[in-house]
Amino acid sequence: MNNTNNQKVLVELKDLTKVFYTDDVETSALKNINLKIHEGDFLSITGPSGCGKSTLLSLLGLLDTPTGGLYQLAGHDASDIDSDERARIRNKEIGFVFQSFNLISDLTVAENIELPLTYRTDLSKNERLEMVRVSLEKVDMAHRASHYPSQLSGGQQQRVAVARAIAGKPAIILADEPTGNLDSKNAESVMALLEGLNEDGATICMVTHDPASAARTQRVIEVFDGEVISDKYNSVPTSVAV
Amino acid sequence: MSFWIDIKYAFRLLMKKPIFSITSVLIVAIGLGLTVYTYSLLSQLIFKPLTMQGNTPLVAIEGEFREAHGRGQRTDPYHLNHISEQSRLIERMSVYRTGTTIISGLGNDIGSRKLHSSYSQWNLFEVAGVQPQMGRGFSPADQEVGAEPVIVLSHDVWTKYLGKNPDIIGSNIRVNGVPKRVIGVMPAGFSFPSMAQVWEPLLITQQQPAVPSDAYGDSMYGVARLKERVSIEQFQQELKGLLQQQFQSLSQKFAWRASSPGGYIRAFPYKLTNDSVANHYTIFVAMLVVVALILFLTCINVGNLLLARVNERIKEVAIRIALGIPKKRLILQMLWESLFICIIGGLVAWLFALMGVRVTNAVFDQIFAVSDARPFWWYLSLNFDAAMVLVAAVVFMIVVTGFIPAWRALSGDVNSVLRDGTRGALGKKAGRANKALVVTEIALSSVVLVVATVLLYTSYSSQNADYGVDTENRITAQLLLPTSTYPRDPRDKRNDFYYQLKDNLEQNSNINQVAYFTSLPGTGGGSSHFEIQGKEALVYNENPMWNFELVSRGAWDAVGMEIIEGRDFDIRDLENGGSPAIINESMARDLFPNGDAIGQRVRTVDEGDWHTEWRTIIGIVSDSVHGPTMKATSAWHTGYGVMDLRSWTMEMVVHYSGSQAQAEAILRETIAGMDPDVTVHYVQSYDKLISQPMQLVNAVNTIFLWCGLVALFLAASGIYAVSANSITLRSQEIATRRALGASNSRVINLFMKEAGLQLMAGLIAGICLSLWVVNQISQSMLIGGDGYIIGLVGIPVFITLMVLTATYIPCRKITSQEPSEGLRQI
Repeated sequence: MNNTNNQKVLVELKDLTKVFYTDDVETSALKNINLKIHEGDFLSITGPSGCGKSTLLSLLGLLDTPTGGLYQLAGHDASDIDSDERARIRNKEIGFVFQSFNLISDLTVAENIELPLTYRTDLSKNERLEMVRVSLEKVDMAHRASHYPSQLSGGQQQRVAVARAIAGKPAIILADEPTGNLDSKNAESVMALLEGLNEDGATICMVTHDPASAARTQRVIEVFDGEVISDKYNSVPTSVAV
Repeated sequence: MSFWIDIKYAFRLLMKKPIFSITSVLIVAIGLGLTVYTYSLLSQLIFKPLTMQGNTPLVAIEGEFREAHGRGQRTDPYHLNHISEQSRLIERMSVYRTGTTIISGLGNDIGSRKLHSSYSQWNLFEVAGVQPQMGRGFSPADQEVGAEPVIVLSHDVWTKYLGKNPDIIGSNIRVNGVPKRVIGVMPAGFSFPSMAQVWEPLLITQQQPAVPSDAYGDSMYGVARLKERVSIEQFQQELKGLLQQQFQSLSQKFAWRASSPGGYIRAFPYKLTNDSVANHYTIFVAMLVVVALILFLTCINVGNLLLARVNERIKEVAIRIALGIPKKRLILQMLWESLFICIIGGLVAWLFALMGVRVTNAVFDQIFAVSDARPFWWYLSLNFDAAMVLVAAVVFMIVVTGFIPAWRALSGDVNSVLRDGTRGALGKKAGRANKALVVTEIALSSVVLVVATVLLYTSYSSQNADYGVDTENRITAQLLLPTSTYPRDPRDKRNDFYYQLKDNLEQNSNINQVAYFTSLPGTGGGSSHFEIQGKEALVYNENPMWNFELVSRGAWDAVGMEIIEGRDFDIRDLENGGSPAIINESMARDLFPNGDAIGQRVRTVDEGDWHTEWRTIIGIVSDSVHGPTMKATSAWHTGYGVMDLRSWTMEMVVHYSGSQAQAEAILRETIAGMDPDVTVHYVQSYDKLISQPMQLVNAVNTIFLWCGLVALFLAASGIYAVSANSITLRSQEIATRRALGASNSRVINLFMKEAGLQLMAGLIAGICLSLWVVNQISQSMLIGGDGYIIGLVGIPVFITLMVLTATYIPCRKITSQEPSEGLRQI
């Protein structure tokens, strides 16, 4: 889906800062970040190691609290809410895909996907199972529903992780180096999956330091030393092998 | 060389984390210290056979037919001699009896002394394998009728009362008023059997009766040394056969001995002659079980601490494996740390055990300060055996605690650790191992705490029980009247002295009342069967049981008891030739529910149609308990006879005003003024008298308390460490769950639920095991219902709280972090 400024703003960051304190040392991980993400965006955050891109993704995902600034998600102020409310928003509005998959080894594929849905109180067991089935089909992993993560390849595990992220129909999917632990073939497959989801309307924000992956997104935000140094749209995202 | 590098590295790691190192060493020291101490205590007091100066065990041979009266039942020497002559499994055997003796004419300011004496066959010292250090032991000639009366003294008596007189051998001292020649002084520390201070030979006619006898005065104990490679069980079997053989030749009068329930004579390890030990044997076994559990808990705790360490170092371990470290060396590396911890812990444990031994010896000194009746083997020390136990326990611990982290190091997925940079998420195997550790900790600590609580409660209740008497401002004492002046038969002079002393004392304004009891309430115990005239059972042992004591006239006020119905003993009872009895209220209520106890006639009965005279009940007195309330042989039904009609040994109780010291002084002065040859012993407060039989059990319970506290410390720290470690290892999972929208309370609930399941499994196992142990203990002591409730309900509740707290704290800690922190650690 191509970006247009007519799309509704889903995420808005105003002067967002994050400072880490270790003993007497103060480290500014993010400095005055201003950013808007629209519904249907597929953007990548790039930059060298330690530049702050993962910290930015953590703040976007409400996995951490900013030191200063404003964070609005779907029109609601999310910069100063309690942990339970943040958990609720993460569960309903955000889907995560991690570099190391983070599937729970004691749960089957289906149970892993169902896990965030079990945190909701408004879903019956049947509804949850239906949502699991739909998302498994989307990532083409329905035949592995009863397998355990250790029985899957890295690429398959990441597909399951994507299925878990989309199962609850979140407003935004946050992916942290989703292809970082995969070989090129599996990485291509996962990127294709994300592109497909975006085409179906999903908003995706992906952290990557791989230029080829970044080139496949509509918008590339470059972070350096805790600051956004460039924010540009790819006119025609390139579909290249990564 | 590479070993040296590993050693230095392990040492550096320990120094880097001093709190971890100190905690580990302390846990090891406590666990091992308790093990070594308990081993020394139990082996020296109970389990290690008494051999003295020989290689084979000594066994006691005693009467078994009065089991309700506990250990120390003498038996007919007619059988003992038969055993001595016919047994092929014993090397030597001797018969003896014990008693008390007054020695006087010591030629110094000491005057007369009451001593524990042994009257034995000539060969007692030969059986012990110990000969006098001065002079000679007994010879067969010393036991012949008409032989010169001789005596052997203990080293202690020779030192304390005779100033180590080098010319003592051959001199005369007065023994119960009769001059006897000293022929030997035994080596220091020798007081066999049990607590003897002087030894005299029995006459051959006393030792070797031609016919059997039921008279208590004729009965004796036997002691034998087994031959090489003969077990006590083999001897017990032989004994049974020998007795059955001899029983067949007994006349009808003694035929009952063949069918005496439970046996007539028994043999057992000599150390079990101590009644307290024999009565509480199962408690000592329970203690051994508890200490073994604590040692196991210690291993789990230290193993878990080291496991947590290796989890922290899993990346380093993975790198070492990747670099090609041989498996053996990796295991050794893991072992070095546990080696250091266990060896240092072992050294500290030895110091702890040494402290325990010293404290115990001091407690024993205190327990036996009044009676001087400490068995000679009750002097604890840490000997070679204890050192060997420590070494074995340290090696066991090194293997167990070193194995757990080594297993973890070898079972980790090296590839994933290196690839993901993860600290090692909790795998299925490790997860199961952690759960098993927690369940085991809960089960073991439940057992230790339940047993400790039940025992402590029982002991506490017994000490604070209502014995039915008033003990405040009361002193008790024993009088020893020389039989030369105050013969037992006729007994008039003895009774006259007792009542004269009572009158003289009560004339003093500080003395309120004086009374005499054969055993004062709170002490004694042991029951016999008795029958009610007109309601006699067909078989003697189907009759009810009672405890029978003698009292002086007008005794009740002195101990705060009172006549409820009927009358007290008075002078009429001495003149009419009858045998009056007073029974207590419980007995009257239970056995004469129609309220018609007064006027009924009862008599004590025993095997072989033995019985006393009929005794007519003339009164009912308020209840009192004879013996500690926790002891199974204690009596709640007691009948009393009047002292004047029998010449039994009496205890006296004095109710005083003013200070105890003043009352004691009045007592001693009054007795000395009446007859300087009468001696007074065991003067102490009534409270102390009651607590005495329980002192050993109390001492053991104190050890249990320590075991309980140690178990509590180990369980609390262990469960916390296991939970914290388990939660830390699952930090990735927790962060992921939180990222997916799980609230903090949901995460905490998840872990609490898991802890709850482990808790349930651990408690079920622990309570089942506790019930078994408590059931074993209840065979040797009475456990009150409250003790069960506190132990089996209170402790599980307490452990539940402890486990949930130990789970909640690390959960709370991890959920107080931002999820991103957990994800960053991945």
